[in-house]
Amino acid sequence: MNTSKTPVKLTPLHSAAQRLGATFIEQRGWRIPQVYTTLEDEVVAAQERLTLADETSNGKLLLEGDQAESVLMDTFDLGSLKINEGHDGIYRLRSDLFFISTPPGREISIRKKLTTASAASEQFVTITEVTHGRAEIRVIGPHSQELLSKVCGLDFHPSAFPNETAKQSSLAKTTQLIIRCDIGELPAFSIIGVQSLGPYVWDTMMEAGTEFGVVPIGRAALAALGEE
Amino acid sequence: MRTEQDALTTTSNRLHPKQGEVIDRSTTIRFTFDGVEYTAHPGDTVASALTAAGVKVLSRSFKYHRPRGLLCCSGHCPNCLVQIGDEPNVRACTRPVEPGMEVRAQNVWPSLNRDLLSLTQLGSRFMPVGFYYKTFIRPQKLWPLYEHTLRHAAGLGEVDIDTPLGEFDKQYLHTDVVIVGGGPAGISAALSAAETGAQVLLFEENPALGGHLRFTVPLESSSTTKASKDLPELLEAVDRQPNITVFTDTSVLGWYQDNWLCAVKGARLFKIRTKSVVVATGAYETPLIFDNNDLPGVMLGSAVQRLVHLFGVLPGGQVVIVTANEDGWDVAADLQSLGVNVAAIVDEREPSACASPYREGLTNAGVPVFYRHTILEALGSNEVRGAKIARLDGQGEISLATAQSLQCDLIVTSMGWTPATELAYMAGGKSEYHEDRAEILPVSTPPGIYVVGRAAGTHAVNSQISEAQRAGSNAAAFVGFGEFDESTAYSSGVLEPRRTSERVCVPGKKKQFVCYCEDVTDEDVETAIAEGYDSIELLKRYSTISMGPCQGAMCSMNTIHLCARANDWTVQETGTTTARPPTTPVTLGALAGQNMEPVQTTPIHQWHLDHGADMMVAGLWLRPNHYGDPAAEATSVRERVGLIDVSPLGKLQLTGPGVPELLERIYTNQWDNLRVGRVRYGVMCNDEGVVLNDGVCAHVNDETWYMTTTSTGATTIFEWLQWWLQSGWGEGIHLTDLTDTYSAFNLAGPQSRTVLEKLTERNLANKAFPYMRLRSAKIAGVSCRLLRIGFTGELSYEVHCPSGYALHVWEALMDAGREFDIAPFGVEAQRILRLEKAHIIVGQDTDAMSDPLSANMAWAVKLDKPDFLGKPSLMRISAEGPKQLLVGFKMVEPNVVPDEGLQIVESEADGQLKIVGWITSSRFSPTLEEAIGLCWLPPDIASQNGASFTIRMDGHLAEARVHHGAFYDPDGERLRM
Repeated sequence: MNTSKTPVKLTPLHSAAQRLGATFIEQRGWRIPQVYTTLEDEVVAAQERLTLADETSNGKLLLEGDQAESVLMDTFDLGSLKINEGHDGIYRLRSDLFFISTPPGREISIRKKLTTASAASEQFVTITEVTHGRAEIRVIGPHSQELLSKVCGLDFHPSAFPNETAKQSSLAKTTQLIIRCDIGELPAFSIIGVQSLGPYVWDTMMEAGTEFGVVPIGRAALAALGEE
Repeated sequence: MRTEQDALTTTSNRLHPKQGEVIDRSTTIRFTFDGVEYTAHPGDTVASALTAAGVKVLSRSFKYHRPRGLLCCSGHCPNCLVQIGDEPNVRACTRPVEPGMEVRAQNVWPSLNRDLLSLTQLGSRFMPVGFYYKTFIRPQKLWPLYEHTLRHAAGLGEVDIDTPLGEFDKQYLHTDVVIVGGGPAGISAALSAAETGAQVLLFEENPALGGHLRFTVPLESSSTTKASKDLPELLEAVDRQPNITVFTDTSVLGWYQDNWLCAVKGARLFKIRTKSVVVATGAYETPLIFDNNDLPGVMLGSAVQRLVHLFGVLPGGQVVIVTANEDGWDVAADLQSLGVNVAAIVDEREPSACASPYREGLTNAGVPVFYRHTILEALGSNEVRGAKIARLDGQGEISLATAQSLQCDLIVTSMGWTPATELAYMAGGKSEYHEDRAEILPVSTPPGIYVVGRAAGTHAVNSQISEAQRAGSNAAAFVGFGEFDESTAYSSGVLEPRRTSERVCVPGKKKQFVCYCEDVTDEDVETAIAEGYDSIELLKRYSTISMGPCQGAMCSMNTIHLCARANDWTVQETGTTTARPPTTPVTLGALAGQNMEPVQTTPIHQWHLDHGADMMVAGLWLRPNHYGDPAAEATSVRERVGLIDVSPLGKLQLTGPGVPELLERIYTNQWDNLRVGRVRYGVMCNDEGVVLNDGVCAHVNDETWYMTTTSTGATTIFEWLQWWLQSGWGEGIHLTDLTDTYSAFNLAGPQSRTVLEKLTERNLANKAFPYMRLRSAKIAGVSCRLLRIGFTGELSYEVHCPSGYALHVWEALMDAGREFDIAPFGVEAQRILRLEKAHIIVGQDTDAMSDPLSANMAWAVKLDKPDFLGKPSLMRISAEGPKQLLVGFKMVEPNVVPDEGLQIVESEADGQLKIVGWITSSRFSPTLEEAIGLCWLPPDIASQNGASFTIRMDGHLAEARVHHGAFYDPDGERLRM
């Protein structure tokens, strides 16, 4: 058997990042953009204008079943969630469907926990990892809402779309899960959709964000902004 | 081109600088109009700059090519439409001048000032309203000639189809209250609503807030005094209010259900969801109808005031003002204060009816006033040279014997207003005619819709403000902010009389235009009504009045009056036409918005491009069609090994104890006996027994199944299954779309096993991993699912790996296959290979009528199953026998490849050819070295192996023979090796 190369995971936005001049690092098996220009410029752009970041490497799990909520509550210290509400990366999409977002790599342990809890409960609950199947584009910056208002019909005002809220909607004529996940006072949204549409959604948002001075940012800037 | 000196002389109509003007006199820019260079100041519109230069004729009319000049100066009439660069129908009165701008007159031949098409006026008696419905009908064969001629003679502007795509986009806005109109009423309503805490969007179609206060005179004795002084204060208050977002240069085009508004600002379309709306859209000044009322130099009073106060431009030096209310006197006083020679004021009222505060001053200044007079005709050929006026008798009729001519170069009419209430009526508002004002005003609006200001008939500024403040509060209260002010309904009811006459038309003998857009005259209206088009809606459709660029702003009120008079009805009985979006013209580009065409790409997309793939569109997917030579790619698979990216295949995961029963229902064959680790092919049908999709499904473990579908059908089948699951078949089943989670590659060819063995420790021997089986394995260090299936007809493995690892696995497979001359192959090679095996492609070889029994897939239909989707229909088809059969064929001439879609024909007794079938797939087989294909044929032909039939090709007939079974490896030995 010839397996000389160590497997490396690439996001669907990898080619776009290469074209934009990113330097890469490997984290939890994923090759992800570290910096596009300079750390300082990218942090300032996020704080003052608008930025996009590829966060596809975040873990993503779907938990489906009428008893999914009880399995979650058994596994985590979690209260009841209404549809679209979220807490600590767990979002209720339907009465019987939850989406779980984790830092890169942590989806494995969470999946194990949930599988164990599900088996113990003897409930019919399906846990599916969809990390590889979903691109995740993070929109960060004061102009986040304005950018999204150009590609999506939802109301992104905090009163209508508070932090830790997840809504499924059409964005740039594609189906996306949109999660508000502010970084402190900085408005931020995660756009999560099938990975095959990721490059299209990225390009569309980069184009729509031109008027706001949008730039891509890498892992270093995310870390500097306080993201795990 | 004009010389420098010429250009400088064109500024002669400029007034001295004054407060409130929007031009920057410190800078001069140059532009051209019909090739002549002119100067302008930043802030000028094309029309203001041309007027400053003394240009009066800006366009030619739609039908008669009559010269037209500025009329409304507010973007509401068609008189100043010009072509700028490749953009037709630009309103010169609202488009700011830019340096180097090339402006051209449109719809003229050969030139604006000498337009020979104006000779059409000579034949106007043969072109009455609706003539195009009655003439040019016969002879029918000449219609293309008529059409060609008419299209050149009429129309507006030229569209250059080579113009590059524009940059357009759209934006969604959400708010509590929308205020449409940024005049004193709109501003006041916005401030009032915002103070309650409501979020307010304030839209104004002009470049700045202020409405008519921007260009009306703040004289002490004027009724507008207080508000004029307060305008800066109002604007400052708006600036200070964080809850108000202002959109200037933005036209609200329409109201749709549930307060869904549409607006446009330049190249951006706004879609606005609001909870409450305040309509403060003001009013259009209504033109008067008299002989030659379209002559350049005839202008509305408000238009003159805009030119004077905003741009410092005087459109004439000797002015006759025609009025029937105080507004005309306001304009007269305004012009006189600027030193303009007011040649006369023609007021159709008795002196006692005039209550203008300027009356005494103007009279004392020696301005001639003709009470109880009106205008009969604008004199002049290409522009106004005088005005003919006459006295009215006691009954209001014109006394022609008293007619006299006044010398002037500008006729200003100020006769009344048409409230701009389209949005309120779109929202379901009701209207009523007010006799004392000659205005149709809203009397009721749906909850949450408020109308204020001139749109509600309130002209006194102080009344506008107080009324709007209440409406703004109520609009916010409707949303839940603050309390309702019960003292008001939709309007304050401050309806001070503004107009004392219902006169819209002065009898005459020359052309009198009701509709400037479509060149419809008063005579046309009377003719149409005489022909039976007497209802206002029919009249509109027949005459096309109000269907042009002005959308009724200039003509609707006068048309209603004319219609009422001709029918001897009241205006109220006559009614109004239905208001529909858009309220103002909008480009198709703005409606289309940003070019968003979703494209799906696989994780190997860049690799394909880097290796010379010719990409094709399949649904939303971009897939490699081939890498240069599809025949060679097919041969590589047959003789060695090839690799194709099949990631777009639909991949659905079904879990739960209810899955077997669901599979039995949705597939036509048997599934409850499929053991773990096995794969089976299945066909899905709808209720009519029509083939929907096909693919394989693998039993992964006790409660997990992994289904693949066609690439383009993946989303449809997922949604179709969801529908069934939510309609009662979902007990104990969870469905997840893993199409994007797994990427898939098909490694095909006699060497495929050897190649794969280099990358895995899994035993791939035929016995350990036979045909139609599923195995988990690490390939190049990545956990994958392997399906041993074979669409190509060769030993092959479908490798499904997590998409993040896709490029790693793909490159590992290519590296491992290098010693065997592995080649990537695209969709075209795959189609050749599958055709050699006579495998069908759903959607290509089947259509919306194809059932699996007829499509040569009876082996995949188990009619003895208890039930499945389509069974009753298939039972009937089975009993009656198929009417057509899908079979393979070979060409008698092996190098002739018939195009897909060609007809199969049969000769009838009379020699005519009868269509009996059609070709669905055809290719030249590089393996067999002959043309092969699939086709639909009548059963009597299709059932005979080797039966001959005829294909109608381009210009000749070709013979082919029925072929039963696969063309290549009919026993499937290579699949099982």
